[in-house]
Amino acid sequence: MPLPPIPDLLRKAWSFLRQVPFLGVVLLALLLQGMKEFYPFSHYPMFSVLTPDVEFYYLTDSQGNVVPQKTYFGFSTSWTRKMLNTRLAKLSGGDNIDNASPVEIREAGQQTLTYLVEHCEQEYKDDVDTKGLQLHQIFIENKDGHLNRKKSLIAEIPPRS
Amino acid sequence: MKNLLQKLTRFRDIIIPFASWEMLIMRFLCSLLFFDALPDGVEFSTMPYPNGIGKWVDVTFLAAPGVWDTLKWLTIPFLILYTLGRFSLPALAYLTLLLVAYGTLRNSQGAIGHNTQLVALVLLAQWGMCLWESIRGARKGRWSWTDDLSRQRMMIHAARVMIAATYLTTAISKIDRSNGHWLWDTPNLSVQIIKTQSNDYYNDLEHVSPVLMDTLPNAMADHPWITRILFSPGLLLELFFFLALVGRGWSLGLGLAMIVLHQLIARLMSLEFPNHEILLWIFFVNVPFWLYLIGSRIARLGRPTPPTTEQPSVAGV
Repeated sequence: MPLPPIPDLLRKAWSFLRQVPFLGVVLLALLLQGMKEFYPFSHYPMFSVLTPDVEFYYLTDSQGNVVPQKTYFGFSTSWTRKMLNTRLAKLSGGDNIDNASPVEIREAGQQTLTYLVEHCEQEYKDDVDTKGLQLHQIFIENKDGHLNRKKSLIAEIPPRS
Repeated sequence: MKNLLQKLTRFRDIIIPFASWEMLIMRFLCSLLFFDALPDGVEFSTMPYPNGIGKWVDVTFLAAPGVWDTLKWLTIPFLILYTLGRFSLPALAYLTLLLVAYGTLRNSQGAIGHNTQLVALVLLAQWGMCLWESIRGARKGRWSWTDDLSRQRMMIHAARVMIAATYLTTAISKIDRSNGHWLWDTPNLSVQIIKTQSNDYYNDLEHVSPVLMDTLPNAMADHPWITRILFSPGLLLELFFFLALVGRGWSLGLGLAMIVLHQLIARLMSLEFPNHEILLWIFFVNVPFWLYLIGSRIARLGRPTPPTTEQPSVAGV
């Protein structure tokens, strides 16, 4: 059977599409899915994969005293985790950062610390310079209903002597 | 199949015939939200990880001395024009481009945030609809820089559709990226709650909640079925929020439900989306209309009132 001419086919496709309830919502949702993270478009991937383990990060000085990150650098801790993961993805050459080597993790951590220090609030610059800065990771795992934690040091900037 | 399709098509979104005063209030509130979404200054002067249009356009010029202040204050006349429904096409183009440029710069630092996207998308949707309606008018020989009632309604409808699509895509992401296991995996939210609460604490060393950092996550991990049952309404609400487009009553009910969901997430996980909540208040809950409705019903109880020149439609109530 010969194919109908294209304009007719398009007209039929449009007539069919117009039957779809909430067509605008459906098309825009698909557009947002397709664009992924392309500001202002987003597919809002936060918490879309609930793995049994997560990691988060915090900062201390070289003596182990916790540094309030947002107060010192203006960036939230979740912002730091995203920055570290982006740098890690670039260093490990892909989006899958789970297989990154310890060297790559340390390097990504070092780059993140350097970025933070560059954006340190003026009043805390001396404090960071003289006391140093360390980036720590806490890894939590939900194993059969039990929550296990593990801490590790990722990177550090030593105090200026 | 055809029968099912026919049934579904009866359940479409409608263009709610908002009154002009309702839409004036919506646009005014939307303007305030937009101005509030713009920062006082631009703290980023580089784009180490370009995102969006930043891959082709260097938007670091925003950080040059004096540029941001000038561009930000220039928004005021454009916001006034948009609010009044005059010259919306150039006004929305300027406002959208400015927010997109700033958001692009901020999201080009290697960390993607999600606080201002919806505001920019709502502006973009209104601008797109304004352009579409203007072109349609021009083809009929009726080009106008003033938004008539019909164009205003279509622009508000576009904003509402964009918000609904955003929630739908959020639900699709959860289902797609988890391979359909999202609800099954909700007991793992226990570790996510510890993460977000800890993040909150390490930000300023002030907010600490033993219940949220310890007691609740352990209980969730310990009782997976209760957790799944408790969290399933959230996903369903995101998935079917587009039904809020059916009418005013649906908008009110689902809009309030979504705000409650945002508040619960804010309390549980310290994840706040104030811009999303405000947009829901403006475009879905629409308090002025319900106050008007209650007021007019109360007034009618006392005495019969003659019809006014323009009354908002109660379609869908």
